[in-house]
Amino acid sequence: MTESTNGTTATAVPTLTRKDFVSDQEVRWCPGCGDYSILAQTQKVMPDFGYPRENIVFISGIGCSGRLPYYMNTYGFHSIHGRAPAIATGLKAARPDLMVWVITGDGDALSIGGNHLIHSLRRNVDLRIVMFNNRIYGLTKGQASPTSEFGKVTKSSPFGTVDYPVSPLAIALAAEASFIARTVDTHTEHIQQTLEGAGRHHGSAFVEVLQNCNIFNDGAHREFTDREVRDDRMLSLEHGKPMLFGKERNKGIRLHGHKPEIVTIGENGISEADILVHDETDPLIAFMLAHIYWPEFPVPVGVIRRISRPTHDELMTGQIEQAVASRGKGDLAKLLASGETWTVEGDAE
Amino acid sequence: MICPVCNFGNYPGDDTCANCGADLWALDTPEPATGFHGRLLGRHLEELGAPAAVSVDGAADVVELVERMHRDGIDCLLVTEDGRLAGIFTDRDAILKMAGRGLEHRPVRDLMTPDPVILRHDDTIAVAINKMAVGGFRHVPIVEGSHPIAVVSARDVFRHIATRLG
Amino acid sequence: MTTVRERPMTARQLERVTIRFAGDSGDGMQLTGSQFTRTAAVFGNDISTYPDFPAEIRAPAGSLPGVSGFQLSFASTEIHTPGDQPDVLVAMNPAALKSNLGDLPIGGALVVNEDAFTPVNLNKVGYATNPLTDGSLAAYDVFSVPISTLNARASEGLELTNKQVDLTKNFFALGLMFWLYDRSLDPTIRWIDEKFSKRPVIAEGNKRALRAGYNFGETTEIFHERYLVPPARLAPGRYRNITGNEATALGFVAASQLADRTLFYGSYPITPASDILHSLAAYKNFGVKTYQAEDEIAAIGAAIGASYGGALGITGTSGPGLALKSEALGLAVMVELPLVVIDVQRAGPSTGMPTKTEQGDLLQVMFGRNSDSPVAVVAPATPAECFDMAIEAWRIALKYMTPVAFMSDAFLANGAEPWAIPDPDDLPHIAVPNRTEKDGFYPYLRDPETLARPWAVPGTPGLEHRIGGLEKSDVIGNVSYDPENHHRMTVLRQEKIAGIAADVPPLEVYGAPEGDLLILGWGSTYGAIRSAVERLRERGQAVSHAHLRHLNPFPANTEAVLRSFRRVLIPELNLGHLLMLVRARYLIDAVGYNRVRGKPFRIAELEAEAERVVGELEGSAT
Repeated sequence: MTESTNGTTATAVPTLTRKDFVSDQEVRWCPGCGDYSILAQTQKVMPDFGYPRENIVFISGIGCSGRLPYYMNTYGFHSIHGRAPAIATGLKAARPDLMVWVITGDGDALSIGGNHLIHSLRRNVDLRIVMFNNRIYGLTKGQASPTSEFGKVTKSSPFGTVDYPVSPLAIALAAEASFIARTVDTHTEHIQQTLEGAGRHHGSAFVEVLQNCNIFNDGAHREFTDREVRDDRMLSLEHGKPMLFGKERNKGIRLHGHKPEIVTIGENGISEADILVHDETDPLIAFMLAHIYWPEFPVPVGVIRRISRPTHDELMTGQIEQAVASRGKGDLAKLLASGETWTVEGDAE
Repeated sequence: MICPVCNFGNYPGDDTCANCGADLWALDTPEPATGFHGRLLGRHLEELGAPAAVSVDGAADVVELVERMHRDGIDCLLVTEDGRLAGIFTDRDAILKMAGRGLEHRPVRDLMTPDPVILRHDDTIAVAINKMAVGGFRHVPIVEGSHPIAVVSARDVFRHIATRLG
Repeated sequence: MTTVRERPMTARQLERVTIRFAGDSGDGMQLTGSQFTRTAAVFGNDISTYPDFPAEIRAPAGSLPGVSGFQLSFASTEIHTPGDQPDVLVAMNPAALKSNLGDLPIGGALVVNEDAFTPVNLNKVGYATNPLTDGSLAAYDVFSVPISTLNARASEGLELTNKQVDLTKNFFALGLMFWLYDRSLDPTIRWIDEKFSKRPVIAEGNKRALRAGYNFGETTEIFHERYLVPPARLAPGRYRNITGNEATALGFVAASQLADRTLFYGSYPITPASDILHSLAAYKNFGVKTYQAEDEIAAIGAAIGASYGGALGITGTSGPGLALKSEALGLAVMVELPLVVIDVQRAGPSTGMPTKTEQGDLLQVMFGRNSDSPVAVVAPATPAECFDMAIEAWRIALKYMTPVAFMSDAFLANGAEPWAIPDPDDLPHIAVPNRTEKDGFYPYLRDPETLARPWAVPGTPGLEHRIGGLEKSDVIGNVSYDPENHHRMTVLRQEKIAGIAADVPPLEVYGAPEGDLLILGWGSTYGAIRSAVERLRERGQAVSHAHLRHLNPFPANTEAVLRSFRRVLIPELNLGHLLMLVRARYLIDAVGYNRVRGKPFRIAELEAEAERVVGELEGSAT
């Protein structure tokens, strides 16, 4: 086990393919579940990071998303509801050489796990946190989640919820996450790209995957993710490029003062130069992107934010190395005898 | 918090010094203003009953003033220019600035302490004590606007304390 | 107030003395107490201490909540407790007197700083008249000393502020006590010179205060007697004073070295366990990784994650935190990873009395999880034993791949005793290897002897597998809902813990192996029970003492030991937890002695209860 960034040993790693990451377990999600697509793309991108398979760990919480580790042929830990980021933080602290993925859902991450999510992002623990957002509690059969729309009628809210939903991206931003992205379960190329970016990021990477639960909340995102309309109703972000969308890429986001508005190029003298250029390092742009949504705006997807700063485990390791360098490696005998000691001489007994 | 005994740098709020064990608790516990302290902190200067100030114009002859102070037992004069407080002249100013020069006739404005520290009637006794202690003087004029009303002296403060100590 | 005594100075030999220093938190009582302790220890006495910190962070000077105390016992024999009651109470101000006088026995000695007994200070704590002069202390042997005045005089001529001079008066009190008990000033003088080497004026002030106190005792006539406590015959070796929390931290550092694995400590600040986090956080050059989590659950979660990665994952807390960790602890049981959970018990329920001691979490740690979810439980009996039991906890956790609960309490955590410093080479071997062999690997294939599953850590090629909270099939380790499998796994988890009984030292009996009464205890009640049984045996009572260090499972010979006595008495600082376990497990009609006062047992009350129980036996037919 080495301390290099991707855990590779000096000798060449055998080239892995997607099949190497498929476990022997039969996948048991409901037919038509968005999770199948996410799983396939996850398996597809794993070889790209150059980690030996044994150095990759998937930790999940409770929910349908929680089943994912069983279907990945890596080390996996299907843990308890909401606590995966906490467990992953400890694992990463003890084993900085591993690549650790946290698989969670909108209930697991934002309800019971909200606190742990916030703090693992705040600490910039080197984790890839992928949150499957189907806006419902699937595993427990259909209760409202923190991202369900206001007034949603479910078994536990027959008269509609009285809770306002929250934007997961906004929470990640408030927690100072260094990588925040959103993608869609059925947009296979986009998921791949996004997971790649998350995998390569050095620090906490938070990815919201808009996922469809076809049994308990079918069509939650279909209004804008559907193939026919997605070009006009989703905004694909790219750092350094203007925020254009639409089938003809002639619509864009412009800041009017500090407020975003949709404009059409060619109308009212708007040219491409007026369109807001995406900057992954700008927190105000990120805040705006976290708060605009369909139907008022196209739904932003892609990398909202990406900045670089030292990770939790490397800071922790750094302190240890510094302590050893300045005080020398710990001597147990000296430590036990530290403080004020006295000696009882041998008695003529 | 730096230990006052051995100078060791402790974490804020530590109860005892990690180096020498000295009690740090007592050093950062704020004391409530009760009783005597409260009375000092809370009461206003008007309670001291400081006497009305004796004001003189800046042009007044200092030799005459010294005679007057000696005759009437005044130890502090407020010097005004156009009715406004410009300075203060005490027996100390007389000693320090006239010694060795004899009784030269000069306007008092040349020997006064200009722009003295002043207080208002609604300032508290503690403020007066603080100003006197920090500035090293025994008299502080009380003004209203820029008009001198009275002079508080250290003697007034001591008398106040003495009557309340019993 | 000095009284001229006509009797000459006498010196009396005593076997044991208990002193309680009490004063304002600014009076330096903790320092005074620890200095006296140290000197007594260096002289060769056996010592035992118990600091009594104020419960509030800050309280106004001279108020009752601001009183800080330090009780120490020193003796020419082996002692086990800091003393039931003080023989002498040193009270530096009226608040200290008021809050501690109740513990001083009639005729006890009382040394007071009369300068602090001003109308203002008396008024602060509700004394209408001055107890030093109104006769209310007639039942005690009162020595009223103007400590502040005399101390100030000693520092005359030194460039010290009034505040700095006042801060030296604890050394005056210390010097006086050194005189009273015939102790040398040299260790303290050396200590002063070392600690204040950069501030010679302060050092001089302290030394003068110390000598002034000593000389006051020598020259004044208010003391008519000095006391000599000869050295005890302790085993030769190098010693240091150690508190339970310090010993716990050192024990886990030692364990990580012995196991050759990184120590990962995940914790959340909670009284009285926070000091363990503080201690471990300073040991970075031992590779110790400490993690202050956002809450108790994150703390244990991170520790589990660390253990999953092959480190020694430890989490530490007190009662309320243990309650929060229940679900995660259950996860650790299900995934069968090594983990140690420290519970420094305190008075509950709920927030309870955070700085007071109790033993109220035994049933919680045994059963406080959903379903049959057994964990091994160990409990140190003395502050120094926390070191050994920390290593023992890891020996069990690693060998049996199980969570282990380490039950300490506030009394052990803050109390101190001399500790014979061990040689690291003499410590037990506890290391276990990671699994590397691919052939024949299954996540839940158990070792036939220990029933432990293999430890295949991430990063090991060819052993990729998934663990989790869902029930797993025996051996193969896939998720399983099979009914017979679940029963079998539940039984296996139980048997794994039960099997540890064959691997722990037998329960030892102090005293005769059989008799009328066995007093059975666990945790910090050791000292009081042992002392009580010593005294009872001296009086010819057929009473013995056994003290459990392993509470789950019990040592293999436990039943045999218990059945060798006519009655088993279990004193506990709870309403009968071990009592319930013993009765349920062995169908033995044990009785309990239960007090939940937030304070340790007094030797005298255990003696009395034991005599009462033996008396009952006498009265009934065998």
